[in-house]
Amino acid sequence: MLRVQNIQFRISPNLSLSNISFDVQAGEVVAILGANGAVKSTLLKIITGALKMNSGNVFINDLPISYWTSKELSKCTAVMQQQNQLQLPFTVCEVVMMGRYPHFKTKATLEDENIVACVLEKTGIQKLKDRNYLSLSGGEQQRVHLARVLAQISGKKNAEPRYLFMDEPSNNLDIRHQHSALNVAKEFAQEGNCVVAVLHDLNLALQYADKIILLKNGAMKGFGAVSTVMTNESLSDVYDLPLTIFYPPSGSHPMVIPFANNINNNELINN
Amino acid sequence: MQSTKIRAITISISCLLIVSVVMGMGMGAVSISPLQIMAILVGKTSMNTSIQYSDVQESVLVAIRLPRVLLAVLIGSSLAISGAAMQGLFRNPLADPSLIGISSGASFAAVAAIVLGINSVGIITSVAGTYALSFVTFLGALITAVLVYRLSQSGGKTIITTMLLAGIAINSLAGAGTGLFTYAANDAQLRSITFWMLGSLGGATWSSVLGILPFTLLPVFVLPHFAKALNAFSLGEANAAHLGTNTERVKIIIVLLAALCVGASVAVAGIIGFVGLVVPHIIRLSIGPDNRYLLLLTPILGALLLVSADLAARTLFIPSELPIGIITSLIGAPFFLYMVVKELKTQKNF
Repeated sequence: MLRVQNIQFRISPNLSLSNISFDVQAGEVVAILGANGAVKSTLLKIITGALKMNSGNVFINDLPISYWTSKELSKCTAVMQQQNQLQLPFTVCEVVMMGRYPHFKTKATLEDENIVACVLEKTGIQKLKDRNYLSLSGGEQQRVHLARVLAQISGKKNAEPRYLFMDEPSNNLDIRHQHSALNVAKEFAQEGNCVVAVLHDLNLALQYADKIILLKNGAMKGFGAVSTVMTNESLSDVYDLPLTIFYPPSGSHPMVIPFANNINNNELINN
Repeated sequence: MQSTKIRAITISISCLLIVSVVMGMGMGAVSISPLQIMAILVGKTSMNTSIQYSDVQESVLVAIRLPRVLLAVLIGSSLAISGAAMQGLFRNPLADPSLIGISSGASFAAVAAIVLGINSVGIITSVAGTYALSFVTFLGALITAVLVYRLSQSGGKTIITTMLLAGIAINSLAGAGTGLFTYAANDAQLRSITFWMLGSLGGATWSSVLGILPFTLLPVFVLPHFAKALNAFSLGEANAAHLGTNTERVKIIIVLLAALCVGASVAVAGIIGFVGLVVPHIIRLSIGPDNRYLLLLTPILGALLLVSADLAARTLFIPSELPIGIITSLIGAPFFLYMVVKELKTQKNF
């Protein structure tokens, strides 16, 4: 399990993360929501060990993050970043195999090959596997990185959960692939692992997350189950925009609809 | 299959290297046949052979050609592999030690050292002198490498224009500094500087070979161990760290090793440009960017390129000899222009 206690981190004189505490149990997908500049990505960098916090604690499997060597950490946590900077013409298969680097010394084992084949299929890119990464579209590249991080934390499991951190996984993806990416993350969580994702799309969060962390200007405005944290009031406050959660009569998931002030809310709610 | 292709390429460039080494030892004003070369080398160690050779041939081979070819092999292989490693570190195929100012930083340091005091007489002729000069050029190379790296990094990305512009600035700054020191030098120092700045392998002796041996072999044998780390680096420094790479250690070791061999080769042969640019690029074109193969093949092709270039430099216009830097620049500069144009095109596509 991932436990975050009282993180403080100063970004500029007027902006800092303060008093961030939450925990993520095995099996859960936790979404971090907030407007631009809410310090979501920085929070993710701190809990993945890429940035050092000023004070506070992050425990991964009950061990403080500062005790982990990057080598050990890389075997059970994977981070999918918002932007990727690969400029060399690796094939898709080679990029995905990089996810297995923490697990082998010089030569990939049969198990590594099998895992790569498996995640290629899971993310629906097996047809692209021999293509040059640079020739792919932005969305296809994003799926390659999804496959890479999945490969990193797939494979034989011990009792401890593994951790998938994602910063804007739906970037560049069309609606079908946004859902398949989050489905893959959800499945991964349900195998007894933890997923923490920064999301912009509130509807994706409503549909896939188990718990929500709401951030505004570096402060935590709420943490808990989706239904308790995501309310009309809290969302409207965090995004500075009147937002309404709407339950479509025939749909299985609630949706968030933004209203400009001059539109009459009652009309839609009455429907 | 990729692996059979890689094996075929490895075998063929290794064979070509052997051929070029034999030609490098045999061709020139005094020609020595391959059999005679073998006889001289074997005869040196023990038994008699039936093949006849003259004393002139023996001394030309042992005192002049052999150290010269060995020097070309050492410098070519280490410059090529350090170029490949720098490109991995900078995440860009245009990072070449001579292009981004590392070589001229080293050469500035050498000239400064000659003028400011290292005993100018014995410098290039003794092993200790080579070590001393190598150390100074290493410092010059190291400082410029760190400087360029710092300048060109921004938010985990290498800004290519900054890297190349910083290279131009450092090249001209080092050139100006070198000019100033030359201006201040006395006659003896000036002769030393001029002799050294000619930048060819013509001054090769056994002491220069021994002088750079450790600094050039170290990168060739150590850098391949960083292949996986450099592959991970291509995803960006943060991603490399998340893949378990100790990024700080990798950066320090690669910059140190590259500076070490650039410094050593500048100390004995002056600036030999473009080897670190052209060689890794040719390998990438044929087998792809995977550093696990790239770092094994670049030293072989680098040695091949420099031995052949040196052979051309001293046999094209017998009895006069071209500086080898001219040959490598003649091959390298058009190649570099082509790569810049290609890089611009790929940037437009995004």
